[in-house]
Amino acid sequence: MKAIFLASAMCLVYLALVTVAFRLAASGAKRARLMTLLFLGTLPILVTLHLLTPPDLGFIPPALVENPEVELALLVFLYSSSFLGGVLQLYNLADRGFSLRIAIDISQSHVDGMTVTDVIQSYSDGKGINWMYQKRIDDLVELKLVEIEDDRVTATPEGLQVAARFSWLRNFIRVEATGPHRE
Amino acid sequence: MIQGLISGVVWFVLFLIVHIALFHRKHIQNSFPLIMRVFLGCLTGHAVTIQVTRGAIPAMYGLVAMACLFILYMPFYYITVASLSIQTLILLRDAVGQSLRITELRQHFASDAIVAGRLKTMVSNGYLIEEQDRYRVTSKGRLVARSFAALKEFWRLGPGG
Repeated sequence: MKAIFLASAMCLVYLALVTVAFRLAASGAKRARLMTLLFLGTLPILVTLHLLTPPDLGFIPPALVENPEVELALLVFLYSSSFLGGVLQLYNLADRGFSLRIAIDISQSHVDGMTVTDVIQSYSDGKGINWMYQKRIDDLVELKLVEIEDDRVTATPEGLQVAARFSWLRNFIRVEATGPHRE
Repeated sequence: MIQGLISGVVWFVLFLIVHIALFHRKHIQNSFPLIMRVFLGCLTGHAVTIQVTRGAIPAMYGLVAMACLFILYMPFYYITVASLSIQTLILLRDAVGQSLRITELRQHFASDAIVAGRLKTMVSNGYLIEEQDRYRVTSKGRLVARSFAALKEFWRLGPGG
């Protein structure tokens, strides 16, 4: 139980730190890196807190006090899951979600409903759908998974490795060529 | 605690096996509702297993473990099935010389068909309604859009997308 209390408390602290960092400084691609650094910085603090505090934290009933080593392992697992599957995904969805951006564009439009052409043109506050795709290509270039030369995009050896792994996974879970659509 | 965690992990592995087996058995257009049904079934299975053998407290630890594994698994699943970047890499791998013009890639991934397909999926999931080729947000879609617009504003993320 101590692990659940400590991980929950540190998640709140982490969310507060991320919010301050986003509002004060970080922009663009630096945000995900900053989030990871903040997570890696707070993880040792959390472990230290676990080692320095009593097993019952002063209020947990004896029946809920567990082996300290198991609690420590659970603590690290809970906090890592909250970061990787929780806050980082919340950020990814808010910053890059395709369907989400479409829903926001339609809900904020001043006309009564939008056609497919309207959605394409007004995507992301008027930047358009080509901007969305160019952003993905730019990210792949930055990750060195593709190279661009004379308007041709070529997969690097690393990109081909990633493609092979995901292609196998997609076949394994029987995904269509274009894939199901994400919400 | 350990018994609860082990039961949670075992039931999560069972969830993975069952939902992948179902995907192999028949084509599923909208996978999320099925995944959620299988996951909730396995959550119940875990709760019953531990309740019968050990009681409520170990069951709670297992439920927490299953929830954590689920939130780790789902982003990975969606990257695999829906990421345009991953689909771009796979298309390049299958192309002659592992290379394509940017205009060809745009025809695949930034086309009317991609947007129309996404809008249809959003309609089937209850976020939009379609009337005479015009799309409007439903109350559910508006709630999600407003919540995330507020978060984007609060975190100062800009329009994004």
